[in-house]
Amino acid sequence: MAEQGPVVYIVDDDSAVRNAMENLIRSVGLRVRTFVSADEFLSAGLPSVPGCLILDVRMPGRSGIDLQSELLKVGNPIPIIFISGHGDVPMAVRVMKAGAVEFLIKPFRDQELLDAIQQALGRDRVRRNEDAQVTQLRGRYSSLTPREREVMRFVVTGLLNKQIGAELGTSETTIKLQRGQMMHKMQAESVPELVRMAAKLGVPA
Amino acid sequence: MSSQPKPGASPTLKDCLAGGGKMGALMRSMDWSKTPIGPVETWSLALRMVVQLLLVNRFQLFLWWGPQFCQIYNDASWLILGEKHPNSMGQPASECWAEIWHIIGPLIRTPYQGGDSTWMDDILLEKNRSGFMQETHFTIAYSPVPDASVPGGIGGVLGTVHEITEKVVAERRVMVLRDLRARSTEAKTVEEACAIAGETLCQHAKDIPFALLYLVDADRKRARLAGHAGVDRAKAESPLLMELAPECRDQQIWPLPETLHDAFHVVEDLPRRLATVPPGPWSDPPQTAVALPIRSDLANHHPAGVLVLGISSRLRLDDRYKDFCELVSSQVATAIANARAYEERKKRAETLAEIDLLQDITPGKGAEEQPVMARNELEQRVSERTAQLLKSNEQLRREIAEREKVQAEAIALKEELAAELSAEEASRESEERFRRYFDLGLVGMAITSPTKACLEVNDELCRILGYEREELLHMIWAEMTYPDDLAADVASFNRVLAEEIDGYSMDKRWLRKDGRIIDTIMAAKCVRRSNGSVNYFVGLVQDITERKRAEEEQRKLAALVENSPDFIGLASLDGEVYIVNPAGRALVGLNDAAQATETRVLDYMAEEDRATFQQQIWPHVLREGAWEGETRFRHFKSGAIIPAREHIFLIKEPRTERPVAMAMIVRDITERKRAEEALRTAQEQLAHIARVTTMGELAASIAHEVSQPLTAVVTNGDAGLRWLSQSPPNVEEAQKAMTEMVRQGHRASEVIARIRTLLRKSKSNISTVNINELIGEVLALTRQKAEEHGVIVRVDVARDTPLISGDSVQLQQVLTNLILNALEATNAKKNGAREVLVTSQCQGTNEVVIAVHDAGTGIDPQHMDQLFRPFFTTKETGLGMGLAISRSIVEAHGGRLWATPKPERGTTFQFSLPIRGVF
Repeated sequence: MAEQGPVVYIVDDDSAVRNAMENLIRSVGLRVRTFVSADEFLSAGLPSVPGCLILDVRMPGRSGIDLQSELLKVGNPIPIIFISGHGDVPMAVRVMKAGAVEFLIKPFRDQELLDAIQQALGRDRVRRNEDAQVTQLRGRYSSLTPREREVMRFVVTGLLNKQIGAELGTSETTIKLQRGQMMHKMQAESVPELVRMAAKLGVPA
Repeated sequence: MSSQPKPGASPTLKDCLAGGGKMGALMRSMDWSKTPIGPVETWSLALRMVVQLLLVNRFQLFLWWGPQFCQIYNDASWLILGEKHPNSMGQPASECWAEIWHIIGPLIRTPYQGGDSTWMDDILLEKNRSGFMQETHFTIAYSPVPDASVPGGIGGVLGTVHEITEKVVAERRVMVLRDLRARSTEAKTVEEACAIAGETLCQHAKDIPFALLYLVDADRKRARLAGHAGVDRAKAESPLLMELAPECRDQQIWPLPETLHDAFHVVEDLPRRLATVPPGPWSDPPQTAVALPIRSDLANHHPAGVLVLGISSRLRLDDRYKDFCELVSSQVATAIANARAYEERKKRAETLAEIDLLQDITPGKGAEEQPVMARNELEQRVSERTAQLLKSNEQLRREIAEREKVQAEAIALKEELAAELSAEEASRESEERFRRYFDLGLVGMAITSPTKACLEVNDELCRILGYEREELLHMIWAEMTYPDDLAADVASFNRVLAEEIDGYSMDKRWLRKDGRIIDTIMAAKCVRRSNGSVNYFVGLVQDITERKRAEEEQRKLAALVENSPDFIGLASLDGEVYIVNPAGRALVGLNDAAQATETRVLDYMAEEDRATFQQQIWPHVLREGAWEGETRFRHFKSGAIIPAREHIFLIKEPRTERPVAMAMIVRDITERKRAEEALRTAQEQLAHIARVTTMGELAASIAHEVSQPLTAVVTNGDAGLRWLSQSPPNVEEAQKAMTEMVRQGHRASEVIARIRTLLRKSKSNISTVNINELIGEVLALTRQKAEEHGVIVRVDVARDTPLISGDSVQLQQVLTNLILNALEATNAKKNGAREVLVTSQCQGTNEVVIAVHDAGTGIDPQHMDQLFRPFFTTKETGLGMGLAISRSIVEAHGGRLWATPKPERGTTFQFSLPIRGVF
């Protein structure tokens, strides 16, 4: 579990602040990795475990905000907690809109930071689960025959077996058989469950 | 900012080279480690002390230090060195004075090796000055300088130099003129006069290395060599005959026609013009000669000849030399005129004889044998010539008769005088004595008749009145008397004639021939005949123009002292005050001159300075002849302290150099001190305002600087609590967290202390400053500002920059200013590199240069020269004081601050600071 446990990443050029945060976060049993600059973070290989990023807004070279937009651009959805020396409302709004979890002003209360970390890790965990589910569904969906996919599309839109048979120019019995096969492959217990799966897969109704 | 040390305080490293004018500045700029006496910081106390005294002294002083006699000198002395300066500073004396080392070397070495002080009165040195070897004369005293820190006890030798070249040369030239004059009446012919002049000039080769005297023939077509000195006759350079025709000019070696035509001519580059140059008294021959007309015949405006004079190769041909040559020429002219007058008298006598002869020729004698035509012609010519001669004969006879009459009168007078004298039993001896006085010319003397005619005059009287003897003998004294003084003179004269008195004396002014008025004292005494009537007068006239002028000068000097705004006082060597001028009395609260004479020098000093004066200043004055510096005076009534700058010097008897009194010139510097203090306060306040302004600009940066360590403290505290609340508590981690808390707490308080320092109104506080550390601190304060602007500040500092001495707060202020300016300049630009580079670099061993380069918009060239002016700003919110104050701070550190546009873009601001500079 220790190797697979979540990791908190810290990017701050001030070693004192960086070390202090590391110390605090370790004290609640989380793993921490620290970076002195945005570039160092970008070039590091990260394990695929739940994690979050604590990011100083102002740094020499690439700033925290620059790093956020860079991550969005490359599709890295890691949750970000910003910390800043001073409250700058427009800046806070900007980073929150871009998906940041929290914007903390130094010096901050430990609980605020830890709560933000928990929230961010939770969010990452959920995202990771959803990602895993979609991957599973895709596998199931790809095992369907073309006819089964058509049947699924009609089932999701709410048509009865008879109506589907008419649409596809075949008998209700055949459809019933194919529908059972499809439901089994997709491991769907009920039509509503299949509808949710379809939504996740983005199968057009 | 006074660096003037108090007397007696031992000079520290910093101030021993302070002040001292140009030489002080030169010495400060030098790398002494390259000289035999090594870097300044290794100098002994004795050396520092003597250098400091030497630099501020106004006398010409040289110091030769150490076994190699490394040379140091002051402002007063560098003229002596001529073009040896400035290499001569710090140079071993034997190198600097190589050409005269055989003379001065032993004089310096003797006191250095423990012998007596040496002294040399009028030493002649040939010295290379202004590009050629010059004849110079000095009086030099060499005295040992004790230094306890060296084994021999003597660190070096102090040379007090007094240059007397001008005096020596001037005295010598007066001798030349005197000798010429003394022999000016000997000659019977013009040729003889020229020969005598040549002989005389032979004796004075130092000023006249050679001389050629050419006389112009009566037809003015040729000139003959009539006198010569320092060169033989009939050599290439001394031809016996020279053609004066203009077409011959180019072949002549001397420019006689030109000189006869338009006076003074300088002939340069003799070695090139002449095959052999007359050698002269020095090792190398004269380079230059001058040619002057001899004006002895003023009546017809034609000079009698030309005098060619060699110019000493050891002297500069300045105005004085030229004047001297003119005077030599006019003395020669006088001698020629005297001889010519003699010759003319003789010729007249011969002419008379010729006329007598002609009158013997009777017309018609032997005429029968002559053809008529020829006889008529001859008769006519003879009669014309006879008429001519008879006419001049008559004129001459008349003149001679007059002269004979006058002479007869004089002879009669003399005979009568002799008779009277013998009758009055005056011995012949006394007559001779009178004659000697008469001829000696100590005073002007005349024997005059009761009709005011001059019967006999001596040379001195001729000189005083500016007339030739012959002219005076035809004048009466009344016509030479200044009109305002005539009445008084005539009144007394008439009383003598009336037998009321036998003589009188008066201050009398005369009108010279040249129109000048001359002051004299005149005494007249009559000699009476046995019947009581006046036989003749003996008049004595003494020229007191010089004395009057001296009196006038004396009066002006006295007025100068009386009216001087400075304290001027004179005292005996025992300290008894003779006089204190009114300004001086006012300064110290003395009632009158009489009260001043009851005081002693020490009474003027503030209590605190009396010991210093007695133990150090006064001995220094006695030893060196002068002292200059600052002490405190005392007000006699209020006892108030008066800061004073003093110049004390000994007054010496001109001939023996024996000190006879001391003089003290004192200036009240209270106002100056106050003004300096006010200026310093104002500057400090201004700098403070500028710092506060800068701090305002830095507020965000500073907040960040404080919030960083605070964040670390709080976060570490939180972490520590959490480690401890675990079960079991993780003490090790908690300790780590707390150690970090303490560290960061200190960091925060350092930041605050730094800010407080910058905001404090502090007097300048000099310490050693490490430039690279200083750069680091300023970057810490401005880092956040740089991040705000998105500018990267890069640093490229020289390793091992030496320490400098200065005020670190002020220097931080300068650098902060430059960096903030650079950040703003970079920010104002939309694209391109957003980078500021801060560098430090050693320039040689003398200074370190700190530069801030930005790649910003650059500075408008038309603003470049105004940049450093107060209240000049291009920023909307700027005060415009930053750069002005920065520059004044840097300059107070002995450095410079300047800006240069960078070739590609942006600007470089940089400032230099002297390494171990004097502040």
